[in-house]
Amino acid sequence: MSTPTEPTGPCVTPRPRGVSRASRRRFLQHSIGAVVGLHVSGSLFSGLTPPTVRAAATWVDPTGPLAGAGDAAVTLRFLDEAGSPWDEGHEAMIAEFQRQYPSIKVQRNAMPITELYRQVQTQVAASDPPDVLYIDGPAVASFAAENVLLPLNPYVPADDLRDFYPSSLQEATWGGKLYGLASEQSAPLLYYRLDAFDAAGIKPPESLATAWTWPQAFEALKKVTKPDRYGLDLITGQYLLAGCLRSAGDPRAPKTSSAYKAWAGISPDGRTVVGYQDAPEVVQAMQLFQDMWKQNIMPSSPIPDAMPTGRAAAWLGAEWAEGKLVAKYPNVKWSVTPTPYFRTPFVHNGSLTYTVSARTRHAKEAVLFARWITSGPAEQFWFQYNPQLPARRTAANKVDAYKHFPKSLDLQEFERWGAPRIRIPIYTQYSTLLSEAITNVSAGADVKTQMTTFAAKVQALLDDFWTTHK
Amino acid sequence: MPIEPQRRRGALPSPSTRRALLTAGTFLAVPLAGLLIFRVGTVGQALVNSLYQYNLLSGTRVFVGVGNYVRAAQDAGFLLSLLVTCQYAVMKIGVQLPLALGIALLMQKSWRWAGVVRTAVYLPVVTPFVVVATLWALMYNPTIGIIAALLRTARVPPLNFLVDPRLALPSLTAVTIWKDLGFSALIFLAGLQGIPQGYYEAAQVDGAGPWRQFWNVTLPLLKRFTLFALVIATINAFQVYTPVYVMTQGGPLDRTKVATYYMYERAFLFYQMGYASALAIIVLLMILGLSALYFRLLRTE
Repeated sequence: MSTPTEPTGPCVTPRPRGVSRASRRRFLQHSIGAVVGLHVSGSLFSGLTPPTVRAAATWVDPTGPLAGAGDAAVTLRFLDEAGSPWDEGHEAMIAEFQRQYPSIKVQRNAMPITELYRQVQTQVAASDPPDVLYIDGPAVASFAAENVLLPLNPYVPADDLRDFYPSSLQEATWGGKLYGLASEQSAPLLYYRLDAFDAAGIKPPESLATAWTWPQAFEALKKVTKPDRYGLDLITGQYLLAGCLRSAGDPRAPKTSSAYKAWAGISPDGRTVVGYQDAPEVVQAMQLFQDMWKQNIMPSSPIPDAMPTGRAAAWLGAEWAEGKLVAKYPNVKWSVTPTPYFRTPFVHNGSLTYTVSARTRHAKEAVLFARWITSGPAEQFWFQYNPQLPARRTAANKVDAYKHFPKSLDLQEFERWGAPRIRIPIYTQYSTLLSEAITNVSAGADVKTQMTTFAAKVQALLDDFWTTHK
Repeated sequence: MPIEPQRRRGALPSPSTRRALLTAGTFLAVPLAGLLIFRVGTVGQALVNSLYQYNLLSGTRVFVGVGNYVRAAQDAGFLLSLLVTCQYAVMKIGVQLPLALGIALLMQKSWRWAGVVRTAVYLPVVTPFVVVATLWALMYNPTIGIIAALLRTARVPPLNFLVDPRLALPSLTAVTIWKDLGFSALIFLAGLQGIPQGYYEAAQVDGAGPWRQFWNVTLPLLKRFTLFALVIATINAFQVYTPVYVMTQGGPLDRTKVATYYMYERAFLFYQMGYASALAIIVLLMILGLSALYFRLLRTE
């Protein structure tokens, strides 16, 4: 899959409400077809002329601040995430980029996301950072705060930025400067097995207006839990769970109240987490999850593919993991319901982001690559490999699938309930400590003690940060 | 090799000796340079880093003198990690070395399955630790693991080996024992094969049975090998990292957070390279101290 082919017909068919489950399955199979090597037979976008590789024009013109980019032969080093869909998708995109800008060669170095940050650190410490870095959105703040990244504002026209969903820009902004560009977005949903829920006589809601609260979901999940099947698999730990915990707060409450603090997660000046991360509402919410672990509704040890293999009836996941589900388990009948919440309908959104090293010797070319790979046509191209909500409004609006259930729920939840993760300059440390607290709670530790200790540990690191970054 | 005539004090070595020295020096220079740069040099660099508040990402370095060492002495997390490391080391060495000696005794005898036992015991040693840890994590899984399946067959409720705070460290230790057993057994086997048969024959003549022969001949003559196995096992125990990283990430409730993992967290997750270097130096000194103690306790004539 090195060069894109001109699409020959529609691939994603609009699916009206009430269409059969088999049709839905077919639709999902098709939408991730490229990821798994299935045949992609047509355009994923309707109403938009698909990008043609034969077009003479480039997708981003190197003019203005980018003038001269690619005039001389340059090799860019791109630190990327390994695995599917990045391996096949990014390789194909790089081939296309190099076709459009023949003098710029992109050397891709891919590794698992867990190793990315250590790799960045060691390369930065060795004064040999990659030119373009593909990192998780909330981690942009951590790297920007340490001057590892190049501010992109001078290189990206304001008009172009307006096309991105605001949360994509918020996530990549630190200190008023933009440090990254995203190509996709995400919002979690509760995926469930139809056989398990049908057998229990439970019909989960299909709209945001009728979404379950967590106590309601708890009762339903209890009913679908069996000795050989958990009710819920929470695969990705801290990032999705943290959003659920924030939903226990209330953004409309007075700013000094614990309800507001539980929702905010961090003080407006970014200096305090004690009282926020361990607010009584958060502790109470976490208690419900511990009850689910204690009652064997949720497994405390990871089970690969728990929901599609029938070891769990439901799964809190997101579009980025949906592709694997559809491709690997085409016969499993499933559906989605909005992410349950406690007090305020709320989910974390966000995605991986293309950033440029502050120490790159090829700033113009690196920015050109970051802008190119997040341009409208590139998002359309990328969607073939990773059928996930594009980060640009115009691109997202042109995907028919988002007009129909179940993908419509992704878009609605993202637009109406979604917000980026907390803006903290020590995000990687915060995320490590939160995972640790969650593990301890799942092992039966006292919830209040764990959340208080967690908040205190983050606060100590945050205090250290602000002492050295006055 | 020609035998050199005795040389007068202060006289230059003969040309052939000089050539031999030059050849030996050339061959030794490469590994010696590697040793100096990648072993001694890095320890030296860690020592220097330990005197700074050093952020690997931003590159900022602020001299704090012994501040990191003072901080370590007051850091409850680090002290707990040392305690966990000691618990781990005691459990591991206490089980691994006697077991390895028993296996070495089995392997020493020429019997039908000796070759199979040797291969089976040594195979985990040459298997990468990441692979071993990943496999054991799956085997320990209370839902899909083979151990849970066996327990269910025996009508025992599955245990949550890596999540239960009481079981996590022993479960992790069992994996590392399984992995390292072959190496210790090999050391003991080398020792056993070096004991002259005559001692056993003399002991038999004196009326000593197998148990008495073991206590009065085998064990005393294995002292040097026991010391070596003990030192290596202790160093390994204090350096354990991979299974913790793969299987538990130090949890639950810090019950498996050994000193090296704590260092890793400080250095690479919390960006405190200076402080992590100070912790590394402290652990290094502890290992050196323990090794010196072993040598003293097991000193042989």
